[in-house]
Amino acid sequence: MTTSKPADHAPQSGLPLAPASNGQARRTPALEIRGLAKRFRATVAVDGVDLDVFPGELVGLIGPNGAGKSTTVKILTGQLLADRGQVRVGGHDVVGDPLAAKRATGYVPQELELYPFLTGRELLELVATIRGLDATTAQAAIDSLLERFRLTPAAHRMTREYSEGMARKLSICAALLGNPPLLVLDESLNGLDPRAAAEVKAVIREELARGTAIVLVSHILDVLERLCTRVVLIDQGRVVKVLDRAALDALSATGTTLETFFIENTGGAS
Amino acid sequence: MKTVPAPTPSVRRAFLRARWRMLTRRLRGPVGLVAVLLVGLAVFGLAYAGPALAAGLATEVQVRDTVFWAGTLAALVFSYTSFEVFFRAPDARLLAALPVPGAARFDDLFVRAVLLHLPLLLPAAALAWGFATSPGPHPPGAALYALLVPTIQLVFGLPVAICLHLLAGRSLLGQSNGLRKVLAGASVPDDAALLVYAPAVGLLATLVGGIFVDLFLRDALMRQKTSLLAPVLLGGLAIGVWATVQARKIAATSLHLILPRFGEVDVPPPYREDGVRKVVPGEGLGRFLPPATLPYFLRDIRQIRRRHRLDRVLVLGFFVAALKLAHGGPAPGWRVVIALTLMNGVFIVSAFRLRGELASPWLDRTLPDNRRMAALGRLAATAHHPLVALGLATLAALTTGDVGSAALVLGAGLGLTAALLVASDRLAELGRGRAGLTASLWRVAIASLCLIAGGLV
Ligand SMILES: Nc1ncnc2c1ncn2[C@@H]1O[C@H](COP(=O)(O)OP(=O)(O)OP(=O)(O)O)[C@@H](O)[C@H]1O
Ligand SMILES: [Mg+2]
Repeated sequence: MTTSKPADHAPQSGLPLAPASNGQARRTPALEIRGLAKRFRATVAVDGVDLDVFPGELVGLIGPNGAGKSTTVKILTGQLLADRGQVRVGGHDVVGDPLAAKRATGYVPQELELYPFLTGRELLELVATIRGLDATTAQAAIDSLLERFRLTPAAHRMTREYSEGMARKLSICAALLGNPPLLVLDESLNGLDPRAAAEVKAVIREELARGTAIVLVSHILDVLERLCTRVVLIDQGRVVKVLDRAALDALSATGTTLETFFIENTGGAS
Repeated sequence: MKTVPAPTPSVRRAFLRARWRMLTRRLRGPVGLVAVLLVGLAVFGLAYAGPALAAGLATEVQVRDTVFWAGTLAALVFSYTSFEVFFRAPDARLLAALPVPGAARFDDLFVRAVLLHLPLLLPAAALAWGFATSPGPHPPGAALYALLVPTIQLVFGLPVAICLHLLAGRSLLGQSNGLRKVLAGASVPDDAALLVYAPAVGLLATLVGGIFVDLFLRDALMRQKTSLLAPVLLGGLAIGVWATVQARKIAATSLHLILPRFGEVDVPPPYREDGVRKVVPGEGLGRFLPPATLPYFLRDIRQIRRRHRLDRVLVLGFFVAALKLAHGGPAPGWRVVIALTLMNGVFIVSAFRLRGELASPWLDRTLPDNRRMAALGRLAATAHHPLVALGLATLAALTTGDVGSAALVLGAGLGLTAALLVASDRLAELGRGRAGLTASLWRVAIASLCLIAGGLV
């Protein structure tokens, strides 16, 4: 607490991708999900999910199509209301204190939406204002993010002229503004060229090193296998398996891929 | 935990600045030119028609009648479209996960609603201009009366409508009860019942309020009891401000809960519970089309019918109105034709929908391209309801037993409907990517022209 960094960003020592140690029990989770349930009329989308994500952790959410991953993500980003259960981000309840919870969350949606007639820079400026950054901090942050994602040359173009990968990178920049302690990435590696994908992975590593907690929903299992501190398998709205780093390493030591594991453990669903 | 206080004023300013930028950029290029032309046409037409219309209104009753209809038309539009502004904003998904204070978002949408509906006062302004510039036989004070009645109606009616929408939206957060089940009937999920009625209640409130405004202003302006003027103006303003404050309070505390709930119930029940019905009304038209157009036709008509289910109700309502117009008043045939044009040109135009929310640019680019067949299918799909309306209008004219009048409705109606379909299709194609804006411009232009024509008849 002697540094000027925000308290939610407890800086971690050691390797960014180090397995979750037993020290995590003493830290407060950046994201707490308790008994979460949601149904759409006859469809049970989420059925009692519990999950904690700690600072510096990268949790991969995997599961068959329709398992309830996006529904969970929508609830924790305030786009959908749960029927039961509780979600706290940085200690703030997403329903009781939505502004604080949303300020603590950077979210990159699966289906990108941008203002087509704003330039990339203007869009980031708007998001920075909404996130409560003052003008000078915002400009510095925007400049460095644009530079980091090689978007500076495109910053003055309207986003309707962006390619899918550029739009996704801009969306990631928007999520990173204000250094939120929790990042939620829904299929964020889609549509990126190898270099951009590598850049995003590098950013993920940097963010983990600064103590950001990350939830990554993805079907690209080999990436998750390498990056994640934990992989959570969801099926029919429930958490059916959790693999921590040690379990992931043990799995690859036996020559089993995450893909095989996935297929073996989700036999029932399509 | 470090918590930044909610920066409402700067967020509001940032929204205003961004909106202004987007609007000016949207208006660049051919769309801007068409916009200028359409607005110019509407203004010119109104400036020409205002005096012509005013010259025909000699008595106090005639003036009040015409002003009443201008105000009612505006209220009919804004009580429904203000709902769309708040609940179906195109950027709702983008902003849902960002920490936008409810009050700041309210201000943003409120400004948008006000600006969007200001053109509704143009016809009233034209009429007032007519009274002010022509020395005709109309009663004194008619100009100010024609301008003030619809203005006050907008000043209190729009905020009241918005407040009702938000109250109805907040009711989504509670449990469903018996009353709501009854209100909902078969057409909507019962948790959304109040949402369906909010626009109608808003319309009713505006019209009832309008009656009082009319009475007081008649005395104040046309019977020289000027002491009444200030209380009416202040009263209307007070109601407007009060409703705005109430609505803003609801938005500040619950907008972040209302919008996600609305997103969930905004799906009509037959499609939520028993899957999708196989056949939509109008599909039969496909039998008369070349086989190659069929896939395009079915795609478009299914999407329109499923997304815009209220169109059917509107067409039925139109039939009732056409019956009333056909039986009575001067030139019944022409009045039915104008009502039909209003219906087909303003309320059930689908050309813009197919370029906006129902468009699928990705499929268009990847599927084998058959432009002529696609255009034909689209035209047939957009033509179905307007043609039904035409049939009903003719039927309404026939019930009077006057075959000549029915033939007029059929002939003129067919020509106008075809012209509207083709013109809206061309304009929508030109404004691709800015469907919402182009549609608004089109609606304003057609509504103005109909009003002018109504005045002339
Ligand atoms: N708005 C909605 N209305 C009704 N049912 C819904 C709605 N949204 C999701 N569902 C249903 O909830 C279930 C979970 O969907 P969800 O989108 O969370 O799956 P997912 O795990 O993200 O799948 P995918 O891997 O395909 O993205 C599915 O059965 C889906 O049909
Ligand atoms: Mg999903």
